[in-house]
Parts: sequence; structure tokens; C-alpha cells
Amino acid sequence: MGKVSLARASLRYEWRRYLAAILAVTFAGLLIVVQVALLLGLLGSVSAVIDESGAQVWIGYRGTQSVDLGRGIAVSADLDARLHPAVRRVEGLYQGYGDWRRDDGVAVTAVINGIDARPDGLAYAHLLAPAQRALLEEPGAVLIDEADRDKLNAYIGAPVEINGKRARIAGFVHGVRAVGGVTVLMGQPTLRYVLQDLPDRNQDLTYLLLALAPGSDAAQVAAQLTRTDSGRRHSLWPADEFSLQSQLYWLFESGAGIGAGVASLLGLIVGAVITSQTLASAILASLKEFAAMRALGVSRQALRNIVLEQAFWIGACGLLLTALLSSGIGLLADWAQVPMLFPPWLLLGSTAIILAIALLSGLYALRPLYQADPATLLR
Amino acid sequence: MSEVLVRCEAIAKSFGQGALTQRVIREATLALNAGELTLMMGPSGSGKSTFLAMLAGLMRPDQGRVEALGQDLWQLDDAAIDRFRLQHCGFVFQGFNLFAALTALENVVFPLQYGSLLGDEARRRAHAALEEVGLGERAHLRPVELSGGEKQRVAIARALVKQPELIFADEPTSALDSHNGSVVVDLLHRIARERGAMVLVVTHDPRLHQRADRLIELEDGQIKRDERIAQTEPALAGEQEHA
Repeated sequence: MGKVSLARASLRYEWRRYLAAILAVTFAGLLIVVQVALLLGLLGSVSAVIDESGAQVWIGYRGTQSVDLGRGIAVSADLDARLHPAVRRVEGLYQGYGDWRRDDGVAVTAVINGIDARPDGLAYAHLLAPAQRALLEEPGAVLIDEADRDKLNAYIGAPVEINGKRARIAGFVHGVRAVGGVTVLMGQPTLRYVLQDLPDRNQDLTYLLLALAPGSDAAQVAAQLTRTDSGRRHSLWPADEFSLQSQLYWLFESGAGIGAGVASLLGLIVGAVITSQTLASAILASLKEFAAMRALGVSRQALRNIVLEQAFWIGACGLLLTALLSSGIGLLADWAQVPMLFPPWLLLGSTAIILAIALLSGLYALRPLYQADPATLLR
Repeated sequence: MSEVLVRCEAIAKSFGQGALTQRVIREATLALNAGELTLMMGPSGSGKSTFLAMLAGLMRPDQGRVEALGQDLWQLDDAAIDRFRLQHCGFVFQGFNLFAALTALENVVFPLQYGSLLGDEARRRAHAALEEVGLGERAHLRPVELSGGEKQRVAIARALVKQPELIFADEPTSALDSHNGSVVVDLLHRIARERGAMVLVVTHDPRLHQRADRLIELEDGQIKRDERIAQTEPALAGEQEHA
């Protein structure tokens, strides 16, 4: 037979009393997990073009803060990069807004990604299957994200108009859904066609993607190229740095990060207050029993540990519910093609925060325990 | 004459300050014996409970000393007094003070876990204690399923399971009807006799008069009367326990 745990027995027997605290902890946890996961999903969609591509170094317009804010660069920007011994491949990428017209005539703003669709191309190397790349080699072919299917009345083979030029939907991809408009992938033949009427013909290059020889240090190559003539007129980033920079830009500039932070904090405070109030009222309800234990010689520290054990189990129950509900929301988001990311650090971090909040609430609730004086039991 | 287990000398206690000071116990001296149930009686406000609290290590006297089991109780630090109560003292209060979430058995086992008894041995002892108060069959029930008399017997089992030398009971019968009240006191009496424990019962219940070994009457913070009671009906008491 195991030990008699007053903490667990009380939680089981008076679960109604503790339910409010468990739910408060659950929703505090849920607020953190879901908001951060949504935020990470949003930020991940911003930097998807970097993360899904095979380039180790990116060259772009001087001072570009986030990858979606790129501006046109000169075709000559690649000169010094091509001379660097570690650079194996230099590839252009166009990113810009285009005017997409559905078959019913409605106009939608689209983000055009003009990529090098050859089999060994770097852009979206991790995302596109060889067959999809092959599709893009055909003039007029474009790929869009599955999530934009309804927005664009899209189907395979559907004729569309981009910047007034005829094109057709050749297929769908997953994971390029943009925060703002619709993302359209096209190969060089289609790109030249839809850009041909633009006033400035030199604006068909936004980034240069560099693949390095195996074993090269991207940061070192980027630093070396920054000191060259063409490097000084542009910005160069190792890919992971540019990805992080883009995500941080959205995190802080968009207000989404601050909004999620404030809401999470509010959730935590409400959760902590409800938990500590619940525990304190449970102590007050059992004050005479606790006092009787004090009379029988059970130390105050031992009684404190009972309350902290209760707090721990409230946190653990809340955590379990948070995990279940988060999984449910994650599945729902997956179904609705809303990007959410649940990296291990988020799960571990929110576990730690939830348990810490529960235990801190327990500590804060201990005050009434000091009224458990056995002398008060005497008439 | 049996062995003295608790002795107090000239203890006194006042509450309040300045002109409002109320002297609750005035220089009382007393010795309590092993194997005896002592009743402490007196009108409300006579200081009975305060007296008990000072003897039991629950409330520090303003002056005087309490010697319990050969130790000068109030010379110990707080943690040592807690340990003393844990090892040697059992308590029964007017409100039964059982945890609603625990069964009768668990309520008895629970304080044992803070002593040296653990696991199966603790449960075995707790069961034996419940048998002793006649509740062996009802050990699995929670307080809400027990009558007032049964609850008080669980509280007594909880007090005696660690086999304390000193048992203190404060108004243990005042929430009970006369039948349950006498069952409870007879139980305490038997524990005093069979185990050689010192049992001090504070009460204002005159019905208990016949069932004690010794009667102490307190008035205005002083011992007014202290006499032994001739026992005439131990056999009857024994029968009633199992009623």
C-alpha cells in the first residue's frame, strides 16, 4: 500500500473546488502555446522562401530588413560572387507584386516568385518535387499554394491573367502561403513574359542565391563578399541569419509579437490569481484539520508541502488538458491550412512556465496556513 | 501511587495588555499520573482549555514550568516541541477535525506518516486502532458517512494509534449525545488503564463525573478542588464500549 497523499485525495474528492484552478491553468497554458505556435507559423511563412531554398548566402537590396521587403537589384550584383572560390552556383530570384485576375474578372494582388526552375535550382529546392520544377519550365505555367485554392477559384489548368498576360495554373504546392496576398511560383519563361510590359526592365532581379562548396562557412563567405565592390552596394546574409532577421522584423514591427506577449502575460496572471485563490480557500476550509495536525506534531513545513503538492497536481492536470486541447487546435489548424509551429522548445518552455505558475500560486496561497494554530481548536 | 507523567509548577497565563489584562491562569501547580483519566471541569472562562494547552505544549505559559515525561517542555525550541507532541501526545478536540477527503483509515494513517511508521505497518496499526474503538468494519468510510460519535471515535483512534503516553481531550463529548459521550469517555478511560497513559479531559459535562479517576475543578484560574473518585462500575463501562 502506498502513502496516503492528502493532496491527491483532496483533488479527487473535492474536484469541483479545484476545477476552476485547473481550467485557469489550462487556459493560461493554451493562450501561450496557441499564440506562440500561430506566431511561429506566421513568422515561418514569412521566411519560408529562405528556409525552403538551398542557398547558403543571400544577396539583396542594401539594408533590406525582411525577405518579403526586397527591392530590385542590378544584374551586375553577381560579379564578385561568381569570382569567389567557394561559390558553386549563383542564381537569381525575383519577388514582386503582380496583378492577378481570376477567371471571373476579380483582381487579387499576388506575390510573384520568379525562380530558376531547373532541376538543380536553389529556390524552393526543399519544397518542389522534380516534376513540379519541370512544370514551371513551360511558358505560362504557375504554381500556387493549396491554401489559396478557394480564394482564386483555382483548379489545375485554370486560365488566369497576371499583369494582363495569359497564364495557367499548373499545380498546387504546400507551405508558401503568404501573410498578405497570394504567392505565385513561376519559372523564368513565364516571368519574362509577365514582366515584359513593366516600365523598368532592370527590375526583374530581387535576390541572388548562392550555393557554396561543401564545408564552406556561410558567414565567412558573406563577410568576404561584403568587402568587394559589388558587395558594398548590396546586403549579404548567411541564409539562417536572413531568415531569423525576417522573422524578428515581423515579430516586432507587426505588433503581432507584442500582442501575443501581452495576452500570454494576462493569461498567466489570471491563471496564477485563480489558482492561488482556490488553494487559499481550500486551506481555509480545512484550517481546523490542519490545526489538529499541528497539535499532533506535524510540522508547518510538512503542511506547506501538502499545499505545494496540490499546486503541483493542479499544474500537472492543467498541463495535460493544455496538451490535449493544443493537439486538437493543431489538428484543426492543419485541416484549415493555418500555419502553426510547435517546436520542442515551445512545448518544454510552456510546460516549465505552467508548472512554475502553479507552484508560485501555491507558495502565495500559503499565508492562511499560518492561522492553523492548534490553540484555536480549544474552546 | 502511580508514576507522575506531567507536572506543572506555578504556571500562569494572561491575555491582553495594560488595564485590559485578563489573568486566565494564576500560579497553578499540578501533577498528573500515568494510568489515570483526569477530568478538568469548571465554568466557561475558568481557563480549562488554556490550562490544557500549556500542559500539552500548545501554548507557552507566561511563567512557571511544565515537566512532561521528564523534560522541561518550554525550554525546548519550537521544532523540538513539535517533535515532542509528534512522539508522545495524542489530541481529541470537540470538532472532530477529520479530513473530509480521507477515509477513516486514511485519517488515522495520515499523521503516522510524519513519524517513523510508514507503509503497511502504519496501515496495520491504524486498522488495529480503529478495531480498538469499534470501527474496524467502517474503516473504509469517509467522515460524511459516519455519525458524530463514530467521527469522534476515529479522532480517538487517530490520537492513540501512535501509542502516546499523554492524551489530551478538549470537550470531546460536547458535540455528542449522552450515549455517544459516555462511549467516548469510557474509551479514553480504558486507554488510560490498559496502556498506562495519562489522559486529561477538559469538559463542562457533569455526566462524565462518574467515569473518571480524578476530578479537578477550576475557578477563576485557580484549582478549587482536586479529588479522586471511587470507581464503582468498571464492568458496566466495559460493556458500554461495545454498545
